[in-house]
Amino acid sequence: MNLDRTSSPAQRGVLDRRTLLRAGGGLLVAASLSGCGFFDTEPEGIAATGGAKGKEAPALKKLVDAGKLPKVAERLPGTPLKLSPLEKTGVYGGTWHSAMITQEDVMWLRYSMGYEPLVSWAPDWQGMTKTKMLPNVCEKYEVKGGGKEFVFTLRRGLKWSDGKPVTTDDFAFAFNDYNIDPDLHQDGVYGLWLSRSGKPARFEAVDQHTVRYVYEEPKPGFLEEIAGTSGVVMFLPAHYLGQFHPKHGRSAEALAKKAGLASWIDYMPLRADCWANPDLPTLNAWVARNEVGKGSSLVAERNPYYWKVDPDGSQLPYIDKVVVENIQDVEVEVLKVTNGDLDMQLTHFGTIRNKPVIARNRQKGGYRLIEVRSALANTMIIGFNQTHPDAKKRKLFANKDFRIGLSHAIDRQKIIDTIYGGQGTPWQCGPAEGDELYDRELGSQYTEYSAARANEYLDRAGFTRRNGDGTRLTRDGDPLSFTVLVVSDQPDQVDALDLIRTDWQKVGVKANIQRLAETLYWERVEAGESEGATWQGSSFDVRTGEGGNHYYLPSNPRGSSRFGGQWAKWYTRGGKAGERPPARVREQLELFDRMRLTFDSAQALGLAKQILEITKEEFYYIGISTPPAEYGIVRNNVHNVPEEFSAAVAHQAPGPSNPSTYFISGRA
Amino acid sequence: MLSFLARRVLWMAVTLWAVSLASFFIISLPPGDYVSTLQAEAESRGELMSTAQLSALRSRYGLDQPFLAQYWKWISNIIFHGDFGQAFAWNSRPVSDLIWDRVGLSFFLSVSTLLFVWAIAFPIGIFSAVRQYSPGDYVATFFGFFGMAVPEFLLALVFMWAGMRFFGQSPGGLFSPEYQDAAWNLGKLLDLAGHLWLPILIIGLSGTAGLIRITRANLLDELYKPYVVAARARGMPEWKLLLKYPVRMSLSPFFSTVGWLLPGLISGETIISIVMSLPTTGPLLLSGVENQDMYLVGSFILILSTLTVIGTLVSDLALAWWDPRIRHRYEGG
Repeated sequence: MNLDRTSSPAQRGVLDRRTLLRAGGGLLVAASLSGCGFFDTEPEGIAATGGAKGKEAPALKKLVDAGKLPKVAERLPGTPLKLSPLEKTGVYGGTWHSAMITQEDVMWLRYSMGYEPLVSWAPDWQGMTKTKMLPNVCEKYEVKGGGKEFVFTLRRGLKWSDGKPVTTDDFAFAFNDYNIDPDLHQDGVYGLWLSRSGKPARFEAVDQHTVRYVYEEPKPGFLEEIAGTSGVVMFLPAHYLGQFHPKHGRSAEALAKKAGLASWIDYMPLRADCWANPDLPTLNAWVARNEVGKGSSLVAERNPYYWKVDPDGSQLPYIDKVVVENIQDVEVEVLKVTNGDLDMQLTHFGTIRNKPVIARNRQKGGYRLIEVRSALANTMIIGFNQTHPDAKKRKLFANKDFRIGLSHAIDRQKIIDTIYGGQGTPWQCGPAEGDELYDRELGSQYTEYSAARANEYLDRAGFTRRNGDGTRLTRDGDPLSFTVLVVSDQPDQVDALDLIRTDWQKVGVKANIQRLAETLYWERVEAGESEGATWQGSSFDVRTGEGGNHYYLPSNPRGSSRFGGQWAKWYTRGGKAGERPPARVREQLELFDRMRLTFDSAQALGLAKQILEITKEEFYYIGISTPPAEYGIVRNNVHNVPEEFSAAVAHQAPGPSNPSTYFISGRA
Repeated sequence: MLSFLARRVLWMAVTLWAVSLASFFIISLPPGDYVSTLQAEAESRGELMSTAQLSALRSRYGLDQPFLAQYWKWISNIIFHGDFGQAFAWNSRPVSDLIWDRVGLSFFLSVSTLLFVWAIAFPIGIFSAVRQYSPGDYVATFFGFFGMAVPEFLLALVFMWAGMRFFGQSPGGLFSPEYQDAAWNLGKLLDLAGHLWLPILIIGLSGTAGLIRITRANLLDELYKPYVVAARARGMPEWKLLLKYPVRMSLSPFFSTVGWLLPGLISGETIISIVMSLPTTGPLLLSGVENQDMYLVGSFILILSTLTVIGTLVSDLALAWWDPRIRHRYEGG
């Protein structure tokens, strides 16, 4: 029964409510409704992995022969995007089984199946400014006016998954009626669409195949956000979504009411999300057949109008179908991986703790491990609040010698060995090796474990007197002690902090550890009440948004509230609130402003390096170690998957590695 | 009887109102709200949300309003429009959509489990009472307590591991991977049955102990009453005597547990469902609580308490029907 029935709607294998009720009402009812072939016990409706090759998938060819689908040449654009698979050209067929942890894990769907931006990253990630950017949905793009103007040329004959042509109307709709629509964004349009004056960029359809976005001044990070931030929408199927917008469809409100929503404003984002709305035409290689969260898995099938081909001119994707199971618990994912149930999976299970189990079962499960380079800069950083409301404490925490002393007192190698499985090297809060902003000195300063040095710095900081049990005393004669907040959901940090406390005690400094739930942690830290607080460190983001920048300078009040919340407030509110930071920090913030306005990425990188020079000097955070690499798995019969990925959020792995060229052949 | 019903229904409404107010209050107690959850998530990915974005979200969800206003907005929509509000974490999809979607499996699981518990606990309870302090009684009691004492999630994980290790069964979910997306046929049906017995067994095990002990204790109370002795003296066959009189008297707990069935439909054995990846309502409730998704959790609690109250009423009525002593007490007063 290896008939392919991919296009027949009755074959929805998803367990929806109706089928569940059938099962509930008596298994026989389900049986009688399920039609022919019931007494077969082999899985039905699953396409063969017969190793077929040709211009298109056999199932589509059958539909073409039956006259239900136009010929493949008519479905492809005039110049389809030609992809070279990583190892070899593949064959059609098979199902890619993967998993998401709870229905909220839509990220995995976006990264694995939905990465079709206007311009995309090259497969190998070398940092935000060095990674090559390739035309994807557009045929070519141009930046004019020093970064004020972005011109995109569309692919002629490009079609949505329902066969309708992609036109400049789709871009106009996405921009005017979605991204900057005042009703949809009543409290402010996303900054990417606005010029500095607050006015939206100007969208123009230059001709039938060219669109243009014009800003009042250079817009750095525009292309990077398109390539690397999930959620940035450049095109939407206007012919379909128009009906849900009152400007184009008269019954937009009625449709929303019918769906149980208050107004079209709430309904539109739901309709425009291809994982929540299987009816939405997309440009993805696989098109969802059911809503995410409905049933126990999300099933997606090949898009007959997909617009990419392999070097032989065969239409992609190779894999017929993707089934993403909705799992509630990571332990179950681990079991499934070891059992060989998942074909390719990068997320969630790949921790140090699980590695022995996953590695031991490679043979049995028929898979291999692939490396996922961490996007973080540090496993754990400790910030001391230099704008604490209490003047004495503030003075203590602002004392650089005090912080250097504490840093030297930490036996980082012991933490790495006991908690991170020996992976990683001692490291401060600085971009890791391989990052474009990697700075050896920034990362390794004061990381040497030496009680003598620690004592030397603490003495220099003025804490030379000690009491009976060896604790150092402040000038007022109080014991030198402070409290460090840690989130109880991060057990590795709680454990590490325990070791650190013992280390600090050895040099006469008393630390109290307070474990808090994450919400309470943020309440305290954001209010500026924390003395010391831990988190993990991220890399500095040169181009898009403000990402991890607050680890390196007080650029936003929440992120940097561990070390200088008041300074960040002063910066973001234009000096009207908060507290004026010291001169060097102000200099740093000015450099940051300049970097955010610099379109040329090499120049921006230069400015970022200057910012990090000051970070090095100011030494805001005490860091522990470079993060251990995570890993994913690929079954041995899945091909064209890279051996290594980057977990950088902007890279959206595995998206840029072209999952449409993955293929399955033989047995694992 | 009618006035009893009317009084009960009136009190039900008051109870529900109090419960809904209290639960909505409790959800809003912890610091932060859904938007801060979002923010923390963005933060942990190294992203950032601007203050404008945050306040926009808060006002969109009505989180900036005082507690009573939020409560009123929610409850009045339910009462007047049957609208349970929107689930924030679900891209503002209607709550009612989400809940009823999953009730099917929860229902199936609850009913099957209850039948399973009855089928096990009833005979064992009778046996234990009749053969009190016999080795059989001890063995049955041991297993009952074992099921109650071992945490369900642990049982689930152990069973799943054993199923995978020794029987090559795929862990979690309702279907093996090859049937995951297949059309319905006998194979798929068998596959479903092959997966469903496990949660039923695990959830059921923990419930049996209580019922075994209740049946046993009730039956022991009855067994030595004069009417039993008198019947035995008349020479009635022992098993017939047993089933006809004392067992009937000891059946009350079965009827009082009927009422638990209804809330079970919605709460859907949360932990087991999470561990075994079953698409019941339980995991939805948990994620709602974690996200401080007020309307989702509030609706859950409201529906749960409604069902509990209705269920209690149903079991009271069933009990009155079954046990004349109860029925006549009301007729008297």
